[in-house]
Amino acid sequence: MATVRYGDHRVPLAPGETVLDGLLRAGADVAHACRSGACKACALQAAPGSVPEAAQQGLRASERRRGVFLACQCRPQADLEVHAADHADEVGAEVIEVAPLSATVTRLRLRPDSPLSHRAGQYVAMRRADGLTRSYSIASLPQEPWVELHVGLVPGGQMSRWVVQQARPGDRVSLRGPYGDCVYVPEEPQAPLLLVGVGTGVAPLWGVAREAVAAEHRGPIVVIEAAATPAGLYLHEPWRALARAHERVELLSCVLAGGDRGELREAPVDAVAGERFRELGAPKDAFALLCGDPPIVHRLRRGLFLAGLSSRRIFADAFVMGPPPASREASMAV
Amino acid sequence: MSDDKSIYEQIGGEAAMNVAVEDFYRRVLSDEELAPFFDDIDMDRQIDKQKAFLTMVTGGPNQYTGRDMKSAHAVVVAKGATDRHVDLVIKHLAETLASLDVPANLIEQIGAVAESVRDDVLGRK
Repeated sequence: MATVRYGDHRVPLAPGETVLDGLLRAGADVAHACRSGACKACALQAAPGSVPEAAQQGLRASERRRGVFLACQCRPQADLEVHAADHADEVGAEVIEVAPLSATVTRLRLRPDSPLSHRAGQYVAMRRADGLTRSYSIASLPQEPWVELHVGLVPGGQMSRWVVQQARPGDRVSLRGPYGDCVYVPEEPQAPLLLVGVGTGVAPLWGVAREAVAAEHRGPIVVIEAAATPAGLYLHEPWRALARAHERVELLSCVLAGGDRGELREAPVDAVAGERFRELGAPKDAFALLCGDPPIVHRLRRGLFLAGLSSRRIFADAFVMGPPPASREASMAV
Repeated sequence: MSDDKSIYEQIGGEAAMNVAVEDFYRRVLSDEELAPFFDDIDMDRQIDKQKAFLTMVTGGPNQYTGRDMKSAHAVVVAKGATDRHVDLVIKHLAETLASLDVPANLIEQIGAVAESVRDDVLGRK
């Protein structure tokens, strides 16, 4: 049985228990959110090479070399001494704009102290001064003078409530990352693109679609925005404007209820995506980028795979809801 | 085909596995009796595992052990997996290989290897 040392804590782990669960059980204060390896909030550090490979999945190479690992994915075989991660890649950032995009989604624009060098479609872990950390996808392009995040208000969510109600220009946060590979592939400018975003899942695609357009992408760019109700399609007008301005861009909008008027369809998003993919002739060279809550991303992924698209051409960012009961928050809330 | 090469090499090595595994997994997911076992499974990880399985049954490089097979399938056994489901998986495997023009005698040999782990999969050993 492995024992974890963290500051004054010495915690013998139960069989199969993660470092995060063990430390929380012992009352240690460890930032965390999704508990499923997605949000990167619980990154800690240990001696390089001392943690299982699985605990470093999805981290940047520079972080892995330093021994940074995800506490929620770490089930060590041997005793482990861990400490708060020295985030060499973390950059400070200043809030420069807080603007509502809809009743529940707020646009947060940040100016990092040094360039983030991200790709459109990637995400960052944003840390508030008190340590609270949540991950959000980046909606802006690298050449834009800010990093833009779309923060959806989550009932009981600490970070989202702060952003919506309290954050002001001049406030300071820090950003870690960027992470994720839900990005445009410039090497294949002819490939049909299927960009499917549910809720605030459209945020990273807003960057990806504009990058594809700027790169003069030659294949069709099918954008599918989806939400429970029309009010959830918070980026609808900007998408329409993009589709009007570029003939390669096609916009499909769907909701689960309150739709079926004009261009808005009332249909499950995976049905709409599968149907459009088949209408295009189920092209094997297509790329699908899928962003949203895990269950719907799972269904989209399976549907497109069964329709003939290789899993290696399906990129997905599932925004995992943070399960901790006291602080339920969309930890990958885009 | 020369006998000193593994079936894995004869049918095209890793490149063939990448094609075969997706075809195989599509057949499995499209099977109403098998699909429920994969409902909550991460697709990419499952594809990696099935590629390892295909590599093993075709005699390619692998570190599969009976214990792996047993622990990996404890969950599906708990969900009610039976000989019937193993039969279906082996059938889909044979159909995948046939669709890739693998000769019948090799498919038979591969089927025999898959058959050999049946008891491990169902937790009977």
